[in-house]
Amino acid sequence: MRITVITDSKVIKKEYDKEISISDILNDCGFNIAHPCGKNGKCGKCKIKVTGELSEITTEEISKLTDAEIKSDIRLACAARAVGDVTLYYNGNTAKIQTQSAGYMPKIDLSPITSKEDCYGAAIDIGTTTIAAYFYKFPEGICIMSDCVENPQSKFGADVISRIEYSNNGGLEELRSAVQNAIDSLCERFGNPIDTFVVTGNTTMLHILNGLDPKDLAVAPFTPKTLFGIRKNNIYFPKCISAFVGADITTAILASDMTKSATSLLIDIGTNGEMVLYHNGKLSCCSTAAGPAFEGAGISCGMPAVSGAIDHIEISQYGKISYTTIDNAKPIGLCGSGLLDAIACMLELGITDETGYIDNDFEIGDSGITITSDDIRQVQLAKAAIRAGLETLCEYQGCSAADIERFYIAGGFGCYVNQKSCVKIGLIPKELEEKAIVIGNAAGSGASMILMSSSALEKSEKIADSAEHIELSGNSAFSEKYMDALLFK
Amino acid sequence: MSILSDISIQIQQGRVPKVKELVSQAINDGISPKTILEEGLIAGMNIIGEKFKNNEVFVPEVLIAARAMKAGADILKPYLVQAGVQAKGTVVIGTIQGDLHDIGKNLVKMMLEGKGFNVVDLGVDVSPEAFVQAAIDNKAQIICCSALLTTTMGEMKNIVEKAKEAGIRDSVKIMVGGAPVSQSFCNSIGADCYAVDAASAADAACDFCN
Repeated sequence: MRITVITDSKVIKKEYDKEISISDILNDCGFNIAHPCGKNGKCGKCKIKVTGELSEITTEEISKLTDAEIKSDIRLACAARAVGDVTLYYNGNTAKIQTQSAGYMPKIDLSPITSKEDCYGAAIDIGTTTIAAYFYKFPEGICIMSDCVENPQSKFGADVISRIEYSNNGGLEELRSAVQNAIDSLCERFGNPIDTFVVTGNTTMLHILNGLDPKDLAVAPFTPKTLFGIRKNNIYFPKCISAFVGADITTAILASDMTKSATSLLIDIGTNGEMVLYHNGKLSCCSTAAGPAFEGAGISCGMPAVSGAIDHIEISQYGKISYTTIDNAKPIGLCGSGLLDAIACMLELGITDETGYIDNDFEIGDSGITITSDDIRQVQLAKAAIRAGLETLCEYQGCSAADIERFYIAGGFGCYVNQKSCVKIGLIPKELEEKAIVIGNAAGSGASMILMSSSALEKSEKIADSAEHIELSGNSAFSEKYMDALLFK
Repeated sequence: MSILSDISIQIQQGRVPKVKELVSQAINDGISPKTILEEGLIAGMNIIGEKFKNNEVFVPEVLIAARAMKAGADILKPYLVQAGVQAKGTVVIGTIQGDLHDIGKNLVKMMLEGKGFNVVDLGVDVSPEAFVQAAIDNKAQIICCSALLTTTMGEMKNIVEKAKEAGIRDSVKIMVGGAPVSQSFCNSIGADCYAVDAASAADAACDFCN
């Protein structure tokens, strides 16, 4: 079949001798379309205009597309297949996601783990959404460049489970080479030879990068092939804590220096929602698997934090809604921080209450962007997971939210989120509002610390060994708290 | 207002002490246990179920109502047994092998009990053999299986196959649900029904048993 892909800058022609899915065609053309739900037809985020000889529309597509969209030849790229000649209209999604620079780092004594004195080192954080690299010059131990790229695995799913599923279906090598190529491109952009790497990331990411089958990570009892904490040639992989709390959390704990307080909490608010509690000399952690609602997936007008996303909303003195968008561009959707602000405002204005009920869809000012009842339910589910995870850890360790002296917020999303909104919707308890410290990409900083100091390396392995993982699924204490935390309070 | 309507309202509002009080009173007033069950308890849960489907109420409200219903049902139980009142049907439910998530499954169980079903809860990480054996042992009409991990969904197909092997496929309906599950998936594994939420699951179960 003959395929024509029309973008705003060029026309691409392809030929295939058998049926092919629209998302595979886009892949072939080198376009990185995101599939947050892993091509299950569940999120509706891969909408594309396509005409010609296509497979019959599926029930999933009918539920995710409006009548108007279907009439204008919109289909879901994951569900539609070309069965004959087809024309695709693709406007690209190459906007750069807002990311933060290197996070906070405590003072350390320089004792680099490089093989020679005069050289370059790289600390790499393979995030589920973004891969960040920090390039250091030795012997000075200074970061001379930081860079990032979207994790190309996003086209296989927004969360680790969907990527493991892709690997289970024969996609391990494709996943591995996608992330390897991304790292290679970051190093090429830097341009200097790297003597030593420290590569951190969650357990699934590290398995995939090393070509290790991640299959058992996604089935109870969730067994990793290895927890790393090993050197392979000139690469050191910091130690993971469990199947779902990885080396990225180990390095974040290192960078936060959270054990300097008697009681402290660290959270990475995102799809995986990992958190760590330190109390009475003990570290306990969990993964709340909050889901990608805070990255826009599953939300009717949700989108990543790129140009045109409403990112902050507040109520002006006259009780009117005012909002800002990224790049001050015309609003085209809502990103995570905007979503939380929206609900906080709706609560403030009495448009919804703690149960999350609304009479009608709510429009954000004059933006044309709306919040639906389903959107509110998605946020309730996501924020309940995080709140209940936090309370479960506290109960397990015998402390309360009030005991927490320092509350570290790690990760990209954490840099943009409004803490007042988080408290308003009950994502975090009120006691933590004044204690919040945003530490940015702590996973990356921790990896950098390891690069710069062999004692930091030792400390990181001790952290991973001593931290206890608490499994939340099937945990009745968590379930009770989860039900309660579904309310906005 | 009739005492039965009052019971229904108290269930919807989750007022456990009031429900217990009213159910006891209704029994004393000579209203048949079956009537109290259907027009008081189940009627209240039905309204909650409809509101849940319409997004007027969410999980917490269902939970609160279900707890109140259970309190009322516990008082009513010996009288129902005495009067020979049968459950609407028997359902075996569980989270499939390899998966530990149970919040959704628990919600389905509550809604099924809210419709008057007898529910046998096998818990989490349940093998296909265990589902089938429990269905046989309990003479169940329906097997409900839940999954939250895409990586474990394949086990649902094994349940269908094991049911065939055991010769109960024609007498037992198989219902599937959970975030990653879809109608297409249900069709592809030969299950009978896909339920998008707990209230729909309960409705579908009623349809199967009528």
